[in-house]
Parts: sequence; structure tokens; C-alpha cells
Amino acid sequence: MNAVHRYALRTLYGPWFALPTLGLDIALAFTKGMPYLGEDKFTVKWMAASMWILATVAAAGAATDAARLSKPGSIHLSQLANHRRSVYLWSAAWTAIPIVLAHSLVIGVALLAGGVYSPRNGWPAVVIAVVAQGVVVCWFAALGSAIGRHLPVLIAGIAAALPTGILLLSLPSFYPSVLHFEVFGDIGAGGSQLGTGWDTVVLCFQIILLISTAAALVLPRPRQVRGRLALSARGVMVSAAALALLACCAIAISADDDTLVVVAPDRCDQGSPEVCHFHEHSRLISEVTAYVSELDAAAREQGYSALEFERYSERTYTSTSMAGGGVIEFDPLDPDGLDRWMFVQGLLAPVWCTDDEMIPDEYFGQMDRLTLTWIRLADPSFQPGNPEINPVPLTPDEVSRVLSDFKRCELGSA
Amino acid sequence: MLRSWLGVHPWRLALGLIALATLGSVFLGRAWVSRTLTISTATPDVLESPTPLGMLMPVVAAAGIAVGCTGPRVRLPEPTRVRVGRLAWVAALTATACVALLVTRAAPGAVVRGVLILTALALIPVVLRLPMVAWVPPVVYLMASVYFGGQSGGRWAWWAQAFNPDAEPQDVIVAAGIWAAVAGAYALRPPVARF
Repeated sequence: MNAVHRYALRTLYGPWFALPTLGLDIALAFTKGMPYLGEDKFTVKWMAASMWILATVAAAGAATDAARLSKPGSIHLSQLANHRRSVYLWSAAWTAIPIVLAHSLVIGVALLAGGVYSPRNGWPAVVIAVVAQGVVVCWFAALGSAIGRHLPVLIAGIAAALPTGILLLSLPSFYPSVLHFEVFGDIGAGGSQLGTGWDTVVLCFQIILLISTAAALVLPRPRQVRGRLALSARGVMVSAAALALLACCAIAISADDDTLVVVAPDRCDQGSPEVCHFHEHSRLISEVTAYVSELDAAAREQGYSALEFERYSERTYTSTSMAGGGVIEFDPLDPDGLDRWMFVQGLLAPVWCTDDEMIPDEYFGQMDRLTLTWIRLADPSFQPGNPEINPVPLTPDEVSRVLSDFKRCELGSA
Repeated sequence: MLRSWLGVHPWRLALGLIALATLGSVFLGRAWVSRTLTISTATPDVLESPTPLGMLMPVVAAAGIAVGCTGPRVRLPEPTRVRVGRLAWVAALTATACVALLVTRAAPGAVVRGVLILTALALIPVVLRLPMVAWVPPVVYLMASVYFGGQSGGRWAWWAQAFNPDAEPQDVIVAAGIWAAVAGAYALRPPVARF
């Protein structure tokens, strides 16, 4: 730490706002059983859920410091000939950069904690995605600085926090009906991101767009009239043009930073039956393997040949499902641990049938009885959560008939 | 006397923020009642939080009250009647905000409870003589509550009740107790402002 750092920490409030945001970021990283651990893209997108928090605090923090620089007694600092532009930029950067560094640190630790040493999408894509999140925080710090420098110190913070919070919370409602390009990036993700990758061209475009418009907000040369900062016509026009450009891009450009990638499970346990999964989910798989062996053994012992499968495979997260023909798929990412009912229902669901067909009501009754039958083979004392399910198990013949109907996508035919 | 009191307190800024919060409540009023416009629409599925956007407005009102409670920048004499006056002043601002936000007639218990708890939080930096960061505790508390306080089946954690759109009468009494504790501290300690 050198004299400049010490001076900034002593005279500005901005750097200190990284402390509450770091706390919220860490809390976010530890919530919901940390399902993102092990996946590169899921980790980065999971942490994007705190973007509206970081951006709001950055805008309000930068506004507070900008207002302090503009108040009588300090305004001469922004009027020194060689400081005119840079003093507001300097104070906004001292708010934004500590928040960005703390956020990046949490993402980095989360990646390493999940054992992501060679990410599926490559380190360059991961770094660009994290930089894109940081640039969003910087943009809102620039906006906060532009708003706060014209307001009294006491209300600058809340006056910048309010529009930022409302904007970031309401924008996703307009996507994708009105807006076709999320200029402020991701809002987070709650499920596995396998099967998707980053479009780094879109991310780079977003970064350039945000940096250039942020510069237009923070850099207009301030003017002093009778001891107060005055709006200059040119500054207002440049800022308005930057905001208009951003709005036009969000509406007119159709771009998504997600790309579809074909992936397949890459680790197989050579047991009987064989269980295959993605290496990202290795930490979750032992419970699945144990339960699958139990189900398989029960089906073989009690003569349910239709429920004997050669291979159990984690779902591929893309349209290229491998299910059918002796392979059935499962989803290991359940925040509350393995829910036997949902798991078995997931195994038996005919995911290869297209969604646009009408699903008859009889299908759901059949599905429930089928699920109950298989779970009870392994655990005869199992009670389903829904008491309306017909508790009489299906016979081996009925099971094979229902499954062959599923195979042909004749759902619900009695 | 009232004129000199108003002269050293930024009441115009305070009323401006309270008016802004009222406008926001009126604007979001219908969504507040129907609970259609919630923070959930902006957050990923796992972090779904059923906070109506209207519940954010007490945050702005509380920041306004704290701004209005900012004292003069010099130390003035402190007879008892000044302390009583400070308590009356913060009570009057809080009452103004409650009445103003109740104009929508939506969720009155939740509004009063929200204003009381958030005002108590916003007053803490004022008591600590840092009034320009009065917005920090309510805003950070809002964010923590939205993400970590209200997720289990529409229920709210005990510490995140300020954003629960439902309120029982005893919740308002507890909130009034919290408010009274911080308001008392504000009345006893001269809030000399350092900018």
C-alpha cells in the first residue's frame, strides 16, 4: 500500500463499500448447497445473481464521493485545469474497482473450491465473462458519479441507488419481448450450464459498448458557476447520446452471450449397471450410483425385466438426448439432496417425445404408478407424498407395456 | 423557534425524498397489492424472492428521514429541551413518512413496520455522525433480506420481516421498539455532521 492508496482510503468513502458487497457475495456463494461447484460457467453465472446489488452499491457509493467533491469547499479540486476530467473518474474508479476485485476474488475462490483447474470453456472465456461483469459495475459507478456530482451530499447516494436498483430489477421483465440484447449482462442462473458456452464476440462487444458509454457519462468537463457545478449543454448531450446508444443496442441488436454446445457425459463407473456422468458432477455421483444399483438389483430379483437398463447416464443438457435403447437419464443437481420420487420419475420420463403434443391426463396417473412400483421394489415401506396416487403396484407385464408405449410416444394409452 | 430549528435541519431534502417514495408507492401501488411486480422477476429461479417492488419505497423514505435528522455542522448548546425537540423532530418526520406512504392504502401494517425498522437502521450512521452514508444500512439490509431472508415457501426469516408484505399488529409494536431505541440514542447524542 503506497501513499496514494492511503490517501484514497482516508479521503474517499468509495473503497469501503467493497466490504458490504464482499459479505453479500460470500453469502451468495454459500447459499442453496452450492450446486455450481465444479462447473466453470455455472459458477460465473451463479455469482452474476449479485450484479444488481454490486451495481446499486457502486452507483450510490460513486455518487456520494462525487457529491463530496462538488460541494462548496471542495469544488475547486474538480476545477484545477489539469484535474478537470480525472478527479471524478478517479473517485468513481476507487468505488468500482475494489468492488470488482472483491467479486472476482469470490468467483476465483469458488472456481478453485470446485476443482475447476481446466475449465470446459477455456480460461480466456471465463476471464472475459468475469471482466464483462466487472465492466457492468464500473458502468453504474460512472452513472452514479454523473448523477451525484450535481446533488447535495446528503441525498446523492440514495438518489443514485434508486434508479439503478429499479432499472436492474425491472429490465429482465422486458427481455426478450422488447429488449433483445442484455446490455447489462447476466442476471444469474439456477441450473447447470453444461450444454451452453459463452459467445466471446458478444461479450467483447458488450464490454466495449459499456466502457465507451461509461466514459461519456463520467468524462464530460464540469463547469463551475458561482461555486456550484453547472450542467453544460455539451455534457448533457454526450451523456444523453450514450444512454440512447445503449437503449438502441438493447432494442435493435439481437444477440445472446450463450451459445449451444454439444456435450456428453465423460466419466463412467464400470459397474453393473454402468453409470455415466460429467466430471464436473463427480462429487454428487456416489449417492446416485448407490441408489441406482439398489433399484437395478431390486428390478432383477423381482423379475421386472423392463426395468433392467444397460446404462444410466446423466442428462446431456442439450437436445441431443441419448435416452431410449437401454440408456436412461438422470439429473444430479438437486439442492436438497436426492429426492427418490423426483429421481425415479426423471429416469422414466419419455424425454424423447416432443413437447408440443397434448399430454393426456392418463399419462400422469400411469407415471405415478410406475414410479411408485419401482421405488417400492427397492423399499416396500415407501409412502408417496401425494395420497391420491393409486397404491396398487403394476405387474411386470404392465410395466413393460407402459414403457413400450412411452418408447413409441403413445402417452397415456391404457 | 421552529424557524431556527428548520434553519439548521435539511428538511427540504428530507421531504423531497419522502415525496419521491410516496410517488413511487402510488406508481407501484397496484403491483404492490396484487404482488405481480416482484423482485423474483429479476433473479434466477433458485433465489426466487417474493418481495413486491413497492416494499422498496420505505427504504427511500427512511433515507429521507435520516437526512432530515442531520444536525448542524457545529456543536451547539445542549439543554434538555433540545434533546426533547430532537426526539419530537424524528417522530414528526417518521409520522409524516408513514402517513405519506399510506396514501395508497395498501398493506398499512407492513408499510408502518418497514418505515420504523428502516428508519432505525438509517439513523445509525447519523448518530455516528456520518449522515451521507445513511442510505447504506437500509440498502444493504434490503439486499440481504431479498436474497437470504424470504425463500422458504413465501415465509420470511425473523430478521428480514421489514420486507414481508404481511404484518401482524405485534410486528408493528416490535418495530416501534426498535425505532424508539435508535431514536432515543439520536435524541441523546448531538449529531454533528462531518462531510
